Amino acid sequence: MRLLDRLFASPKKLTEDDAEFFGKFTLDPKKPLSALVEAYRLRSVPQRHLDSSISEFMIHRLGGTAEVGDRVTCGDVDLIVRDVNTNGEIAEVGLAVDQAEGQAQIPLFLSGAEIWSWLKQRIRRKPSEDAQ
Amino acid sequence: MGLSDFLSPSRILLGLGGCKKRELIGRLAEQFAKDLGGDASAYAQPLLAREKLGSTAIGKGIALPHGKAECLSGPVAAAAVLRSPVNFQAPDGIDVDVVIAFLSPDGPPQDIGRIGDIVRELRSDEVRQAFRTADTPEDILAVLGRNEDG
Repeated sequence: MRLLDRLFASPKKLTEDDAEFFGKFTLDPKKPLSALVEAYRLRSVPQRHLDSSISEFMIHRLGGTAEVGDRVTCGDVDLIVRDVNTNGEIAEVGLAVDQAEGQAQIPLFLSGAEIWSWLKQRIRRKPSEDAQ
Repeated sequence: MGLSDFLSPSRILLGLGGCKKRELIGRLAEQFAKDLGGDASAYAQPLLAREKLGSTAIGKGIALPHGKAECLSGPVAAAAVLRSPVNFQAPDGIDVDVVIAFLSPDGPPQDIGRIGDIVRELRSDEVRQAFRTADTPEDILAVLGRNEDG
């Protein structure tokens, strides 16, 4: 219930429990994706995205719009939308260093919001992106 | 392997005072250099570069700056316990008084999972309490060891 509350309110102040879903660390979405790739030596991030900001990369992967709780894989880590401003821009991003973190492995145990986020990601994901 | 495997008594600084975030990372980098050799900037640079991307505070007064250092052959950590908490732009808004710097060798990101393991370890109330109440670095290592064995 607390997670649902968090999804429908702005997750400005994250509790420890929320971090399991929204990622353990915080990222500034305006920072270049290349800096993130360099910091963690991330593999399998398409070269053409390296000039983008973290936010631009996520919006691209999410098919044009982002909502709180949306999750994008970026090489060896996952990026999670923690906050979206009134213009629909990503205002805060969480970094999950363990890609299983916050994701239930059996859909039966996913919350309603998680199922919705999971479905949106799969609907929006472009097949060409998966191939890279 | 747990956090105690990456720390050493000489890399646990207790009762540090009067530091802001950047200076604190500098102090930890100096400790790495003193203990492991090399230039402090080689340890500070990756930690500061990561911090520029966003806060590494994990809540409840703990931060875990991390990065990759070319001069290392294996993962290492250093810790600082502060007399006065410092603003680390923590997601829960709580200032930080325990900072663990974790550095791993340059190369593929096999150590990312270790960062997650350390965060889980630092979520233990007993471990957090140990950092804040310890009289010596060895006290902290003893609690970490017990926690990791359990």
